[in-house]
Order: sequence, then C-alpha cells, then structure tokens
Amino acid sequence: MKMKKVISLISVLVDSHFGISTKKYTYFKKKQRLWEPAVIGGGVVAVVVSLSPLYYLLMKNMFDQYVQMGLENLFITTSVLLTGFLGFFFGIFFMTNALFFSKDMRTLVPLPLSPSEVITGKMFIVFLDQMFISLALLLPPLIYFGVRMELGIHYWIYAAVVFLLSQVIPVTFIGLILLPLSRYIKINRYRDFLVFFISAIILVGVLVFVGFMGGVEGNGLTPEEISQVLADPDALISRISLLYPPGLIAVRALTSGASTGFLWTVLFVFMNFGAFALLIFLGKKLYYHTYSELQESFASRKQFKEGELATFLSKHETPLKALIRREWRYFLRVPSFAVNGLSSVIILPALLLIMTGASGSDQVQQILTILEGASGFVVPAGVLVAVLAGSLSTLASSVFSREGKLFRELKALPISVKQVVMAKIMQITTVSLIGPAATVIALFVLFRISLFEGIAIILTSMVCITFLNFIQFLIDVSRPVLDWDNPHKAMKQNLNVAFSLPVIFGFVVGAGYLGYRLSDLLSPLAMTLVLLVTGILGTLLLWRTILSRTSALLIRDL
Amino acid sequence: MIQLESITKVYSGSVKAVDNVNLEVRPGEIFGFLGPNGAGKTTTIKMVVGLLHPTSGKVKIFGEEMNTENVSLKKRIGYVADEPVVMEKLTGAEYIRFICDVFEVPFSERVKKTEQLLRSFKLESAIRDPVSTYSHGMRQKLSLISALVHDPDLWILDEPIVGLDPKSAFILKQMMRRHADAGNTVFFSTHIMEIAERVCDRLGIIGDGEIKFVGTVDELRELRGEGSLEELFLEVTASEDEESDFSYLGAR
Repeated sequence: MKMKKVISLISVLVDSHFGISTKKYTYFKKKQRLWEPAVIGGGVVAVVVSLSPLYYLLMKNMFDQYVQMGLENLFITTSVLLTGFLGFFFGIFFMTNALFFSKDMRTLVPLPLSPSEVITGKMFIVFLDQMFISLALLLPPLIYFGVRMELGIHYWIYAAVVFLLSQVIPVTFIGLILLPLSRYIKINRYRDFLVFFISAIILVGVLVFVGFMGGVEGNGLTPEEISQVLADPDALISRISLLYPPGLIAVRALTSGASTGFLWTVLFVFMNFGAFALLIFLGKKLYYHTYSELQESFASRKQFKEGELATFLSKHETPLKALIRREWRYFLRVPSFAVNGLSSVIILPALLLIMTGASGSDQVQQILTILEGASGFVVPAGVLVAVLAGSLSTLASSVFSREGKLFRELKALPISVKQVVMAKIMQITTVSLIGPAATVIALFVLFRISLFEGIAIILTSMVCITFLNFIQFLIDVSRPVLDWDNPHKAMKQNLNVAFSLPVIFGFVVGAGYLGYRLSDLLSPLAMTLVLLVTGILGTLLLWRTILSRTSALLIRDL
Repeated sequence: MIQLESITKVYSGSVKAVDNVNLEVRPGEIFGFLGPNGAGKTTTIKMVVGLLHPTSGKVKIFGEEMNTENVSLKKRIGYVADEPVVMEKLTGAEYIRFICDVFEVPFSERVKKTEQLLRSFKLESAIRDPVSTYSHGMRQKLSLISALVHDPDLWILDEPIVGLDPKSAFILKQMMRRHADAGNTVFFSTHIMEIAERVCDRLGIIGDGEIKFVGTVDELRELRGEGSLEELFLEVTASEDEESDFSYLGAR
C-alpha cells in the first residue's frame, strides 16, 4: 500500500460520503438552501444544550453509586461495553451500505489501486460513521472518569488511544459476518431483500446472545457471589467483559496505572491492528474478488410467446388506474422502498402482538389488568395507536422524493395534477391501512374488542391518517429530494421524513394527553367523534393546498 | 497490444453475453468495436479493463494477463465507461486531482496536462463546480480528461462520442489519430458508422456475443460487396432483413 495514494483515496471518499464539496458549492457559491445548515446546526445545538445537563447528571449519579460500592472502574467498563455493542448494531447498517449499496466501486476498480487500498478506503468510511457512536457514548465518560479520578497524563494518552481505536473491533466483527456473504449477494435483483433479511437475522442473533449472556452474568447473584464481588471488584469487571472480551483489554489499559496500563495499551493497539489486517484480508478475498460478480445484473432475455404480448397489451386501463399501478410497481420493485414502507406500518402492531404472546408473564399481566380498568377508552386509545402505526409508513413524507429522476417522466406525461395526486394518495392510503388493520387484530386478541369497535377504530383512524398523510405530503411536495443515487436517500436519509415525525408524534401524544386530561368531561364516544371530525376537517382543508403545491412542483424547472 | 483468447462471459449461469471471442488489437492502430445493442461490446470492454472476469479464456494486454488486481497494467490504460462514471459529489478539479494522485502523475506534468485538456474540451469554467451540476456531455468530457491526463499508452473508450458537442468530438477524433500515429493504441466502441469509417484503421463487429468480422472497411467491402458501412454492418449483423415498411407509423 502506498500511503500517499491511500490518503488521497480516503480524502475523496470522505468528501464524497459527506457531500462536503457539494455543500460548500450550494451554500457558499450558489447561496442556496442556506436554511439547511441553520436548521441542522440549530438542531444539534438544541440537542446538545438540552441533553448535556441530563447526560452529566446521569454520569455523576452512576459514578457516585459505583464509588460508594468501591466499583468505580465499572463506570468505564459500562461505557466501553455499550460503545462496542452499539457499534456492532449500527455497524451492520453502515457496512451493508458501504459494501452493497455504494456505487463507488464502479469508479475505483478500473483505477490503479490495489485491493488493499480500496478496502482500506471503504472501511475507513465505515469507521468514521461509527466514530459518532464513540463520540457520544465513550468520549464524555472517558473525560468524566479522568477528571473525577484526577488521573495523570498517562491516562489521557491511553484514553485517546482507546477512543480512536474503539470501533475497530466492532467493524471487524461485522466484517467477519458480512464479508463472507458477499459471494451470495451477487444478483442485484435480490440484493436489498437479502441484505435486510441478513441484517434482521444478525440483530435477532445478537439480542439472543445478549439475553443469554445477561442470564449468565445474572441479576440473581447469590449472597456468596455478592460478597465475592465486593472482595474482588476486578472479578466482576472480568465477568461483565465476557459479553465483549476486547473491552476488557481497553478497561485494563485505562485502569491499571501508568506502567501496567502501558502494556495493556500496547496489547490493545496490537489487537486492533491485527483485527484491521484481518478485515482488509477478508475484504480482499471475499469482497473485492467477487465484485465483478456482484455487479452482474440478471437479465433473462426471454421473449413473449405467440399472442402473449397482444394479451398483455389488450388490458385497457384508465390513466388514473395506470398511474396507481405505476405507483405500486415502483414501490414494490425498489426493495428499500417496499421494506421500509411495509415494515414501518407493521412494527407497532407487531409489538402489540408480541406483548400478546408474552401475556403470560407477570409484568405484562399487570399492565393488562391496569388497562382493563380503563377498557371503556379502548376505541379512542386504539384509534391513536392505529394512527401512529398507519402514519409511520414514511410514504407520504417521501411521496415525490421517491420519484428521483423519474419525476421528469411524471412531468412529461399527459396527465392532470389531480390524477397525479389521487394516484399517490390512493397508494399511500392502502399501505397505511395495514397499520390500523393490524392494530385492530392485536387489540382483538388483547382486549377482545367487538366487531363494531374494530370498525370504528379503522374508520376513524383512517380519516386521521389521511389528514396526517396530507401534512407529510405537503412537507415533501415543498422540497422533494430528487437528486439521489441510492434509494435510501429518498426515504431513510430524507430530512422530510425526519421533519414529519414530530407532526405524527405531536398529533398522537397531544391527542392522548388531551384525552387523558379531559377524560372526566368527555365520554369515549365523544373523544372518538372529536378525532373523526378533526381528521375530516383537516383533510378537507388541506386538499386544495395539496393540489396547488403539486401543480407548482410540476411546473417548476427541475 | 490487446489479445482476447477465446473469452466467454456467461451471466447468472445462463445468459451468454460473449461467446468464444478471439481478437487482436495491434500497436499503432485505432480499432473500432461495433455491434448492435446487447451484442456484447460493453461486456467485452469491461473484461478488457478488468471490471469483469471472463467465465473462460484470457485477456492479455501488453503480453500480460489482465485481472482486477493488476495495478501496473491499469496504470497504462485510459478508460472511459459507457456512461460517465465519476464521483458526483466532488468538484471536477477535485476528481482530476484524485485521478492524478492514484495514477501518480508528477506535479509539473499534471498541471500542464490538465490545463491543456480543460482548454481542449472547454471545461475550464465548470471545473470548480460539483460534478452533480454537470450535463451529460460535461460529465463525458470530465471522464475523457480523467482517462487521458495520465498519458496512458492504451485508450479504451466505450462510446466516447455520445454526449459530446461537435467541436469536442472533432478534437477527440484528432487526439485519437495522433495517439495511434505515435505507436499507441485506441480501442473504442461506437454506433456512429461515419466515425467508424473515417477514423478506424480496423474494425471488429460483434453480434449475439460472437465476432462476425475483423478487418478494414475495404476488406469488409471485398467480402460483402459495395455499399456504405452502415449497409454492410446491417448485413453482417443480420439486421438487413428488419422490417423497413414504416407506413404504419402515420396510419390511423
């Protein structure tokens, strides 16, 4: 590997990944979208300012408790472990994105770069993404621990090393799982589904592992074990570190004083460099070498049989129906749209059903007993749950963003604005309906609601969902993200989706709070009617605005 | 300079995109690679530059076997893909600097070469803007500049004329001629028969993944009789029997 080349490669990959040049050009040269850095910067400052005192208090309380027990080193152990675990969770998605969704390999492979250089560059981007986790969860505890314990210069040096290398092991571990799969995720057509499926399996596997290890580490220590722990705090740290063995070396480096700590730090550095070398080796063998197969697109080149084309084309449809079909096809055939859209509306009812499955456990039984006391409010409460489930599809808040470059096609087609809006609303509403339907099934199993109550929940929630979908539609139609090369940018990484979440949660939490405060004044029926009327009025009021905004978008120079 | 020895490429275990292709492209010539859409041109070119591995057979460049990891061979090739592949989020200047870095172009040379190429392709005014703001033609020009800035011996250009304005296309053709006359090689694909006829020293025609003809335009005429290259091409690729009665287009 030539360092000069690697540095140049990393700098362009970082620039490209974070869009630094594009942002500089947009904000400073074109002086466009200046509100964007202001909103993002303001949001970051607001989060930091509002959460810092809370974070500080949390660290102080934890540290004080550990000090009282004579287990102050456990403070740093917890931070190291948490950072490692979250690094593993989020790393799955960062690495999946870097390996299977990024298009930079098309540019990099023909260049005179060795496989090691290319893999180093790509993995560096994953590390950089992961470092945000360490920045938030490891750096503040490291600083707090050093200050409170009044540790010398050696601690700060070792802490800097531990911080900078904190994500190497999580990334390597993810690499050990994902890189061998590169050979199998080679057909572009099924790539997204496979990746999502594998990620889900990995996450479930980790949860099972953590649960299992939690059982081993155990809440239920015997009195003998407790006295053993108090006699030798290091034994507890070693025991907890069983969950994440590399963390133990980091903890030892930070807590063993200057000279012994130095040896642990050296071991930590060697371990990380070894892991990194293994990652590069695996990346070369299992990813780079299979890249040419990864990019092969499947084409069956099958022709229509005699008469098949005529049959296919003879199915006549109105322009509106054809547009709705276009919406569905595009939604279902871009796997990240389908997976994100459908999983979002199913997740909340699924959690309810999991609760149902676990209804034998004491805690859930207690919750159900409390809820049964307020069973008269099952319809308005069920409406709010259904509204939350159905509105979270993120389809309305990415309605035009998902079009991407295809938006030009929409502009060119001989169709009216009303037809465009109707087709999109009908498709979004159908997907949203899954949320209330699944919620009603869960409520039926949990609370044995009647058919009438079920219908009332579905109807009322659908009206409210339509209203909320209209608001989300307006957010996206005002500023759609059309210039993307990766469909994730149109949905998961779309600011419009982020802006719409407070609207949905605001409506549900606000209505829930008002209902709670007014429960003495309003009957459940009256609450349901208020929700219904709010939904109908909101929908009717926004309809014209939606049409005019869509019309403005369609005639805009894009 | 380029030797394709019985190369075959089978996609997804069933679709044969390139079938037992044997071809030699010599030093000092402009070799035009022609074929209808889906004939296997781009797949062949991707195998030549190491983007795809042949299912069987060998690709040799300068006598060495080409593969994805052959960094020293890649350094001697200037490649323009069928669609401009450049990092959209970088500015044009940043992209060229990156290319110069990875091809290890000396500082004095990179400045001179870049300035000359930018001037030739009239891209000076856009070079500080992000590639995402470029038109298709401008991206194609940037791809060409990136492919030529390190002064490669072998130019492999997949439909380089697409998107270029007439002046830039003219300049590129002149550059290709000059490059070949200096003893180097240009291997390029095109759908524009006039360009192929006027610029190429030899042609290769591929159809259904198989090489149908290799030789000069004159040799093609000797073989298939008089006619324009377009007519001969249609004949070689068995496209001459295509439906030519288009009266249905105006019919109501």
